[in-house]
Amino acid sequence: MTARALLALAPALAAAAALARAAPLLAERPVFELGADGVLVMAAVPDVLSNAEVKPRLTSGLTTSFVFEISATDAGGRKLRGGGLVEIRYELWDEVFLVTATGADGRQRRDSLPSLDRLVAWWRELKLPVLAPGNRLAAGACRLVLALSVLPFSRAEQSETQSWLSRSVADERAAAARAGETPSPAAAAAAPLSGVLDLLVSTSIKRRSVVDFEWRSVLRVRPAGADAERRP
Amino acid sequence: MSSPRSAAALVTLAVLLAAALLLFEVCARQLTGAWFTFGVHPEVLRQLELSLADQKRLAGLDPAGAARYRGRFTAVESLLGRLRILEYNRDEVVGRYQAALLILFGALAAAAAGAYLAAKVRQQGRLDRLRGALARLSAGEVDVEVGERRRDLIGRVGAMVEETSRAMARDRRRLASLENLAAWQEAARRQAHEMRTPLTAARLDLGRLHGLLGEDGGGGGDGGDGGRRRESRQLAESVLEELDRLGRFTQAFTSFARLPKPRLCRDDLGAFVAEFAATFGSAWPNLVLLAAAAPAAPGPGPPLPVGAPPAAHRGPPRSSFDRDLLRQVLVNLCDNSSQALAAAPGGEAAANGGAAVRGTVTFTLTLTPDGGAGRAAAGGQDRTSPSVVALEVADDGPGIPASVLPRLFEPYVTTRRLGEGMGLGLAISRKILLDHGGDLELARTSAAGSVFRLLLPSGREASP
Repeated sequence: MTARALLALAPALAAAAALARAAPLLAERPVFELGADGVLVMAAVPDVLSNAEVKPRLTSGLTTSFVFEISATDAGGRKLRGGGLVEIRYELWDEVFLVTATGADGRQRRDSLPSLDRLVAWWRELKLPVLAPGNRLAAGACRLVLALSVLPFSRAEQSETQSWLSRSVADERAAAARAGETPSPAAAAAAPLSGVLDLLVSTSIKRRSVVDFEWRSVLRVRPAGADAERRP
Repeated sequence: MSSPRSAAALVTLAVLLAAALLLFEVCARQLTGAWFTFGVHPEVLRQLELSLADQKRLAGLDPAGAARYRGRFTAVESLLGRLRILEYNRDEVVGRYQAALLILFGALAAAAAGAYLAAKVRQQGRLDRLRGALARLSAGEVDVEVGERRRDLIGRVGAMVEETSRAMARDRRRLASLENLAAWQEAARRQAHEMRTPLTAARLDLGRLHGLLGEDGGGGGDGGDGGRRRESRQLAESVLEELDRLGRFTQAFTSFARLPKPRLCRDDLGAFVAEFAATFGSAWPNLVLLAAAAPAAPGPGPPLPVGAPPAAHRGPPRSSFDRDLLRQVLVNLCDNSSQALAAAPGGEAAANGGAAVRGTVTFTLTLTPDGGAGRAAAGGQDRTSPSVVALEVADDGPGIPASVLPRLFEPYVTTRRLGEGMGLGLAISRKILLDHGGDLELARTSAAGSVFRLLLPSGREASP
């Protein structure tokens, strides 16, 4: 292969690598359907729980968050956004999975599942509204892009850890002050800066996703009164 | 800071800063990473997990304490969860910590570099000022002010430049004064010479005429001739008196023109002044002479009481001086004070021995670094320069009129009425001090009195 050919292929290779890095595509795709009230519902979500990156997180004792974001462009060219949230936490004492699913309609569904297999089954049977009830899609082909981010812990756990970290640093300084320790000249001079430093460190707790998924689909929306049909 | 050398210094500073930041970054990375590893070490996490299992097992074995074990379990579980979150954010936390430290260190280093550069610029400015002062000095300018008040090397060099400039200015002033006085002396010598010959001849002839009139008058004659002869004798005596007065003036010219060179002898000036005050204490009826410690004159050195024991100060102020000439100076000054007091309202009675107004003349000795007691700046003295003994002669008379001050030390300048003095006293006194290598200056004058300052070299032999 000549250098010229390599140069010609380089942009394509780079784009492919970026795509693979951004969202590992699964062979399976979720199913989308319109409910009786016209709400877009996501069902038959591919089993991401068995993913090698995700599975160990499920039993960590932290709340693994599955954040769904959907972007729908209907036949009228209107772009709608929505999503849903599934939180799974393994209760180590009782050894059960505590699951909370929150749809775009604001409804929450809570379950307690005794095993991973039951959890996977629950996941497959999950039907989650992903567009708010007011967002009705126009009749015709609707292009859907569903992104799933798996986060290793919940927002509450994030803020709790941040405050714990800040509190720990503050407690350490307060304990030193209580003990009557005279700060060194350098420490005294840097005192105003240490607060900034603590803030920088304590706010460094981020909820980076463990893994991301993305699916694309086309939903044929029939006129009102007719059923919708999904075309992969 | 625009020279190539300054640019090179800036580059060096920038390279040093970059190297310091790099070194700090490497060290911080190692240290911060290690610190974090201790906190979320896998062994710690594993032990916490085992602890969780133990709590559960204990609760099974001891159902009565299940609640307690559950509480501990929850606490450990919470801690484990936080540590796992920290571990998950390891790169973020460590990176943020390192960045914060790097920014902090960078800010400190930049501040230090800025301070260094500012100091460098300041120092360059000071050096430029010093160079300018030296250039002015080498161009012959005197009384150069560098304006340095700091005591570092540049400040000390600046003080030396100012000291040199002051010394040059002083020498020039002395030289100009000496030249001026020499011209006056030459004029006085010529006038005295021109006046003395006809004056002598006139006195001789008039004396002879006076004698002839006296011889003839003894022989009798008519009343008219006798009366004319008596009148002629009286006229001759009157002219002789005027010629005598003219002779005294001529003698004063001669004295001024032929001031003797001082015969210097190193001596204790304090003892000399004390002796003068004791000897001449009653010479002026309207004056009291005090050779004692007086309020310190404005000057950098502490006052030295006349006759104080050596241990109290830096030893007795010694100087090389001619006792006779210096005595003449003090007499001149006391004469002036006495006559000024006498001219003041109510002063005549005291001058004639009455008990009305009596003035005080106080002598105070001060040892100062060279440069003149009045002009010396407290912060910029060169300790290696020779010292000067300042003898202040202060009276409490009516002061000197401002109109006279600009020409105070010039010959023939006087505040007295015509015929009462020639105004040579201060000129002669200053000439004597200049011949000693010192000077005479008016320190201050006001309605409360006048202070004259006699400056005599102390640290070296005087070179007239």
